[in-house]
Amino acid sequence: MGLDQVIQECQQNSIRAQEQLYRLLAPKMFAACLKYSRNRADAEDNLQDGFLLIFQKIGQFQFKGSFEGWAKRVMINNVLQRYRSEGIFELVSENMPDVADVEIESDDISMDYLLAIIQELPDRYRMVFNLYVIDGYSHKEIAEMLSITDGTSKSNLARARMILKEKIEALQGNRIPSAK
Amino acid sequence: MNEKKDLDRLFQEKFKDFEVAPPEFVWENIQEILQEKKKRRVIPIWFKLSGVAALLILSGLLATLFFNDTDNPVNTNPVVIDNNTASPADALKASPDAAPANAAIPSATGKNSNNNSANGTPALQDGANTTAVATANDNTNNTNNKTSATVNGVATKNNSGKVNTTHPAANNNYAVAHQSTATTINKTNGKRTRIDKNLQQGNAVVYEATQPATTGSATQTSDVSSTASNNSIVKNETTNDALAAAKLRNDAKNFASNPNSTINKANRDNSNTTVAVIEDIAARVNRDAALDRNANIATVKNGTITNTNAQGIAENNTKSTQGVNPTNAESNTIQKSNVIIDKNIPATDAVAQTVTDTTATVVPENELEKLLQEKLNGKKDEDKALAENKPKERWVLKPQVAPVFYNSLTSGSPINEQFAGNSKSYDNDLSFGLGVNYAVTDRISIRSGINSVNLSYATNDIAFYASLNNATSNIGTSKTANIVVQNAANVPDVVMIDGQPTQAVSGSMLQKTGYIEIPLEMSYSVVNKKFGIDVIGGVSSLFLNQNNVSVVSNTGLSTQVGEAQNLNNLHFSTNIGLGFKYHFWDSFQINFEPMFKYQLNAYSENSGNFKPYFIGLYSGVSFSF
Repeated sequence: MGLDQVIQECQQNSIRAQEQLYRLLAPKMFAACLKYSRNRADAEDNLQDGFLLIFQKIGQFQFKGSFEGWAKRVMINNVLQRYRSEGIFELVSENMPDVADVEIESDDISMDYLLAIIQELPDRYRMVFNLYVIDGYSHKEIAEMLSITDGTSKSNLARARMILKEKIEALQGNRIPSAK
Repeated sequence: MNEKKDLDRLFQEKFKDFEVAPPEFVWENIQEILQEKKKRRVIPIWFKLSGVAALLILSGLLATLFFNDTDNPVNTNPVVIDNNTASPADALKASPDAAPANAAIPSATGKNSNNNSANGTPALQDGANTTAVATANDNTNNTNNKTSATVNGVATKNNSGKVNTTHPAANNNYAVAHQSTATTINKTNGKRTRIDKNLQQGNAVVYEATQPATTGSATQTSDVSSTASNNSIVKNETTNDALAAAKLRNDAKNFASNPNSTINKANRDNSNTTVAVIEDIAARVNRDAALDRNANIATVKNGTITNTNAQGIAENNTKSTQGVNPTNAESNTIQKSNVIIDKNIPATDAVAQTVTDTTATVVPENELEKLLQEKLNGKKDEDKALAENKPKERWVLKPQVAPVFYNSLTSGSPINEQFAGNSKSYDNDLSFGLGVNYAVTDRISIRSGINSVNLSYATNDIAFYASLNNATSNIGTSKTANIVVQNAANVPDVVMIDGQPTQAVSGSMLQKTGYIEIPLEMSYSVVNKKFGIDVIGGVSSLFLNQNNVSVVSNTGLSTQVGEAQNLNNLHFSTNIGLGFKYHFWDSFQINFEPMFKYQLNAYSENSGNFKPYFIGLYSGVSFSF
């Protein structure tokens, strides 16, 4: 059964098709949730809510463009909506930081560590960084999604990069002495 | 900049194919929720089905109800703002030492009004009817700090009990109490509190005493205002020691003598839903009125009470009265108004001071108005949302055509009783026309339109012959030569006409009728998806536009006999049927509607126990707009 047919059956509320769709997309969606959430428990909650939202809105999918892209967008918007409603976006500084010149040697940094430091970012830095760097949204789009200005988005991104870079450097700094 | 790109690339590469299998319980949760939703969906179908019968029977009544429902009156939220202002001039005369206290007024009152307005809104939803909560800024000057401390302690006692708990006396800037409590305060501090006589008119008033130069915390005020239910009189009062004088004591005594029952009475009088909104003091004060109000109470204060209807819903009651000289008119107004906000602006020692006060409190007013506006807008939005839920395309136009099967429940004949026993063959005719539906709701539609319908049947086994005599009842003719139609069994083989034997011709008699049909029906959608099923019921008016009777011989010769004389020009039918429809697009669907139409009074008289009905299989396409 093709994906389109599964989607059509989901539009008819077939629970069998819904499960099929879930099995197909859940790993990718869960990965997205992990990136955008503060921790794994939040990510699980967001995955559940996001899929319920996808099933609820699947009737609106017009079979134009990739369904995976559509679903991911719904999923991300769901997470954004949640954090927005919690009202925690205001807690980050808006100032543009100075950019330091440090190279990053990225060969042997584990996936888990990268995910962990992303999750540790303040909520809005995490959103902006994920949206811009990993999921390829423009600052303009991000500004609309988060109800902030372009400038704030850029500033948040720079801050997020700074924090991430510092944490990676700290990891590498710890490793070098231990390697010697 | 290089390192930035490196960092970005690092994350991009790492997260490119990032997939993590979620724990199984997530799907189980989702499944559970989805299935719950499905179950919930199943039950209403039976509700709907069982409701169909009732809906059809009461269709007329329901339609009326639906139309009336659309204009549901919104709760009225009358607001009256009552500013009671002490005259600066009087204050100047009476209490030169009151000046230091005045500086604190704008901030205290401004904040207070702000908070109250913000939290007064919940009072709208509060169905409680009798709790009257009022606030008052009791602004005392330096010499009175001690007594105001006492006020805070005392004021936590009140009638409602709701207010009480939210106000620990220890750190209260705002003390809230009902009338009785306020009385206590006044007794204790008879010197510094002025009570308007209008309180004695049976108005529920609660005082909120505020120390000078203190700012109220948002939580405290919100507690106050959240307990403020409908029918509140909110009183902001500031007093100056020097102004109080012996008059105040008297007032306090009078006030003390008021039983609490007056509060309840007043509250009962005002049983409408209200919004308590406190307007900023300085902006609303009618200073002129306050200034030269009257000389004989110069020792106390001039009070200006301005009742304004902010939302234009309640009566506009605007008046100026002396705070110490209440009139009957005033108490009437208070009873009429649902909310009275009574603010006493303290005496100021200079005009300049008043000016600064005004400017200092401009902002809260704007915020207040904003809140009010938001509230109004919110309602509009709700209305809009409601409107959007209704189907956008209410009208449906549907050309339709139907094969019509004519028949009778009994074997009578409308032409003559002698044909009652004859076999009849009913022809299948055609009906066509244009239908119009109006969707009252998603599921209920009113239907009308116009159809042309032809009905005909043949009475078999008759014989006819020409005669000069009128011989067939119920048939009129313009022809000179009449044709006599008789039951074949009664006709002798040879009929004598003018002495000439004439052969009667056997054959059948054909009666054709045509009508313009105007139905008025109601339909209820039992299934309303891409494929839908409607149950339809109603009546039709049928206007006769074709009427003839002819005979056809067995050999195929046919001749007109005349017109049936007992056909009504207008008759009615009761209709019931099912509608099947299939949506191709949002605005285009095909219909198939088998309808049973029982004709009520097609024949005026001598209908020969003929009970005709017809079944039409109406099919067509419909366009909604």
